[in-house]
Amino acid sequence: MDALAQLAPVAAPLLEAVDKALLTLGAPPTHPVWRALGQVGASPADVVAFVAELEPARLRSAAAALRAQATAYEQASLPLDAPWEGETARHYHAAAASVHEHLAGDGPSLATRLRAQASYVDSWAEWQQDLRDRLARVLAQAMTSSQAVTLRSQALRPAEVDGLVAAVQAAADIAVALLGVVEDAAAAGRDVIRAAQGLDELPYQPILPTDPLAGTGTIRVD
Amino acid sequence: MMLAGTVSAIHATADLLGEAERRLPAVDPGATAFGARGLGLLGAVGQEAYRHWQAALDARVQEARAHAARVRDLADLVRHAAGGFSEAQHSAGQAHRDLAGGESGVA
Repeated sequence: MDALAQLAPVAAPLLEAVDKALLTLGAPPTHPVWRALGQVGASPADVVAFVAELEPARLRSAAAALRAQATAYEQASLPLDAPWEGETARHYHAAAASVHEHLAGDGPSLATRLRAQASYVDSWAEWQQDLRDRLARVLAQAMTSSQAVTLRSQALRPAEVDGLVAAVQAAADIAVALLGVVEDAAAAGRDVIRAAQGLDELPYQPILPTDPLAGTGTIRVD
Repeated sequence: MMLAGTVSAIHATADLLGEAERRLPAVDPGATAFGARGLGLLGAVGQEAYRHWQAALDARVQEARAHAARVRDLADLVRHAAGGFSEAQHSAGQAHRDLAGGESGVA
């Protein structure tokens, strides 16, 4: 259980108070929370609830399965030499070498494509964990902040006008800190996607003898 | 390696690829695991990540399917060579028998 899994249930009342203040009282007109809300398109409580549900381990399982498949490709024992001699044997050798190279050779292969995709999904798992950790840190700061105290005080004395003004400011401050994590994470997430290149289908480029297949040969009887 | 062993090893590789084609779709952890069901910005980025993953997984499945067919072609090549050998052996045996029969006729 990571920090966010522990903090999210405890922070729920504070986040509800933040959302309620934003929804019912708004925020100071020039506060950056307006821009952040527009960018993120979700309230702080919804964001925390959503991120708390993310399970990077599920993505890591997918990466492990892809790597296991890549290993299976690499361990496939495709005979490269034919048990006979002659032109068809040369033709077989060239075809088998091409097929093997494409499957798990030294250059780009089906095995390297699987490993590249495993790296991509691992990067996405890492991105999710990083988002959870950053959100947990900001949430912990918010829970012990003076703004949290202000919001709690206002909830106890809802009729006080001064308290109301301070609560509006406090809710906006907490919201902008949490939503800022999401904005940064979104930019980093798009970088992860952009960096994951070379995942398209690998074209097959056979290297075959140019001479026609004569169909002659000698079987080697061992 | 003898012909039968060669064909068997080739088939094992084709089966491996065929199995990969069938099993790879099950590796997909789903849109939710990528965060593609979220609201707003996070959901949009999650959807983008999942689309990228899905396209890549489709490519892996297609690669396995196409390569299994290539490996089976290799097995056909071996069978073609084996067929030629068998025919040659049969012809040689027939010629030997004809020759033996001819010799007995002369004697």
